[in-house]
Amino acid sequence: MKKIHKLLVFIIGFFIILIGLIIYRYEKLLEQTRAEVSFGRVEGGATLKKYNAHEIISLIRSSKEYLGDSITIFDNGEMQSSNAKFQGTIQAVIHSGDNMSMVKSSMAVNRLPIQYNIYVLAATFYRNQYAAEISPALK
Amino acid sequence: MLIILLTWICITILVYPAGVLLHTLLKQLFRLETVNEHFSIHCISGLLVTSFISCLLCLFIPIGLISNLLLSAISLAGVVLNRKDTRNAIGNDLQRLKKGQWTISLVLFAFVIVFSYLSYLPSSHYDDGLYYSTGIKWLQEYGTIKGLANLSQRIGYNSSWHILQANFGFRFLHAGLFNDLNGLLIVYMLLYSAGGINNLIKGNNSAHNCVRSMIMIPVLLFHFGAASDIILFNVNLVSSSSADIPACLITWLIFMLFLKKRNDNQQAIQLTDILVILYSAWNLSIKLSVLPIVLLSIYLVYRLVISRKFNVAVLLVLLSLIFILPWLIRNIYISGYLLFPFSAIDIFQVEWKLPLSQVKWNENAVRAFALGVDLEKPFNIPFTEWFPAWLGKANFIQQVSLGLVMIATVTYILIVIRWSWSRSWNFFRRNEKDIVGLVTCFAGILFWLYKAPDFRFGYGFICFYCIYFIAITSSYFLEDSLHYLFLPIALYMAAVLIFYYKDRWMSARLLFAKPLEYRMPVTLKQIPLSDKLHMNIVSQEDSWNAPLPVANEQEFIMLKPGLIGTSIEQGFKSNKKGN
Repeated sequence: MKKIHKLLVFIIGFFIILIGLIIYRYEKLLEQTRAEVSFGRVEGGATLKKYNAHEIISLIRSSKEYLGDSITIFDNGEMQSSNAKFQGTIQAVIHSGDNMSMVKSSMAVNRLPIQYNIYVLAATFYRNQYAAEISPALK
Repeated sequence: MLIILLTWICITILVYPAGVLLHTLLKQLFRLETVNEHFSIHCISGLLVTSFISCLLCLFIPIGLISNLLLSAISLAGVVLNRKDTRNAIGNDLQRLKKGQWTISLVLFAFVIVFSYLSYLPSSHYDDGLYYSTGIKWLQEYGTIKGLANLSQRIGYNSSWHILQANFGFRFLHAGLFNDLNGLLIVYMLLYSAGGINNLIKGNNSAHNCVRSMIMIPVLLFHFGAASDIILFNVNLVSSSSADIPACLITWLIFMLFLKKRNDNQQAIQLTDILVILYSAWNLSIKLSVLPIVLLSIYLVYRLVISRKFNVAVLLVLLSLIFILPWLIRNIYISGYLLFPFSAIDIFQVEWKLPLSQVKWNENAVRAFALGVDLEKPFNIPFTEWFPAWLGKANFIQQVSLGLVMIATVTYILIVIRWSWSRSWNFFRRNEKDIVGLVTCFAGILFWLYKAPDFRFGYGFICFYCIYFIAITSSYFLEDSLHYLFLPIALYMAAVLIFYYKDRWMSARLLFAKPLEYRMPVTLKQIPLSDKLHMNIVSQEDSWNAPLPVANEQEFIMLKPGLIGTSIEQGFKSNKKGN
């Protein structure tokens, strides 16, 4: 086979494989989407409560995991703790897929806002990680 | 992150002279010609030396300050006694750095920062809590304790990587968590691969160099979730001290060294061949799942025997055995078995031996866990039944990898038929090493499928098989234009840095962060072992860095471990009735 023909076969082969993979991936994603159960909207069903920032903060403060810090929830949904170290733990929870799966499964059970569930999980980690620094009253 | 970079520099300063010294000794012992080895090979050989010393020391003393002082002394001796070779090696590496493309060096530097960040992240690897961290802590506080597997069966898996990690965990500094050796090994391998990319830029069109340039592509991306459809590795494999990543990377390196074209001299053996044999022995002690890699060593020894170099062959076999001996002894010490979990090799009747039924349970569980079936039932479903269902459940990228393995195998079979048909036996003689390499790699894939088909155990063989196929296919079709592949490879690396890791660059505040604290179990209770000692019990199989001795509640109830004598140092035995 001549060099130019080989090059041509390589390029065509490469694009055929690439297109094949894209189609296969697309089909797999479609399969997943079809498999997801959609319940549809039901008239007269109980409405899910929508929480405002103040209510979420109250929920956190009433939780047994509350660390005594001051919490701010911004209008874009992000949350900020006055405890810088704990803020790091919150960020670690948010950036970990595994941790966020735990947060989402908790949300599915308790039907409470995501910020509350993130706080509770992060506080659990924080209590273990910085056990020595937490005041005895909060232990 | 900066503190991790600092420890990596310290480790490199320690292991580099040790690696150069090993190479010099091997050259003198086997009367080899001087070869200009890559920086990464010196460092990885240094890790091998350190691993051997740590394995040996941990049989007698805890791993920590003394082992590090001893290693420092060896490195210093290496520099002083071997100054000529050390100076040459440093000179060659600096020359290589100067000749390399600055853009590639820049990309590499950015990846070093990224990997230090990934190493810094707190690990949430289930096995890390289960036994990596705990096993490392045992090594650092007590060294090797008889019957330790009676407290936590998984510690019986005994990876020499964890012993090395215990050495470079620097617990004696009391500064925090430094289990970051996986990231450093990735950096070494990335530097080695970058050497290949630089060669491509310079016009090197060999398939071997192409493999070297592409080999690290699968480990540039790490996903941060539970699973990913397009990324092979989870970030936990870098942030924890999992032995899966080193076993995989060292497997790739062994294959690359094995397939490296020989210098045009008549020497029966070269330094790379000896390194293949030693690295294979080391890799086996890191993870037993890489067992088929030993076929390469068997082939090299066989070549020596048929060329009547009996002395060299015997010396090499002895060296390998000496190298893994401390690890084998430690196996016997902690579980009572030469290899764990291999119930068939049951030759030692020691007091601290783990009950045979438990070894059999572990043997079955490794396979059953990988296939997602009940661990408590013996797995005896035939391959034809489980394989289609298992493949159907695999992620997209895993299916693509296995698909490529199948295409490659069919292509190789067709090539063999074509050359056998035309009776061109010279083709087989000319490509003997490549054929042996591929057969070994395929044997590795079959062994993985049979023993523990969890993808993270098989990437060492699967990825190399696929990348080698891509490289020789590209080499056949592109001929002397092969070196243009440097462009897509370099662009891909830059794109990964800019787009995939863009959020990670925002975490620059972590640059000056202190090392993480040692992670602790969620709950801990104490049960008396004797008048003076008590056992710490964790209820959620997450012993992490709990105070020692520690055991998981379930295993504690099942194995009923007790002290052999009056102190922890005398070891533990199982009081479980029956076998």
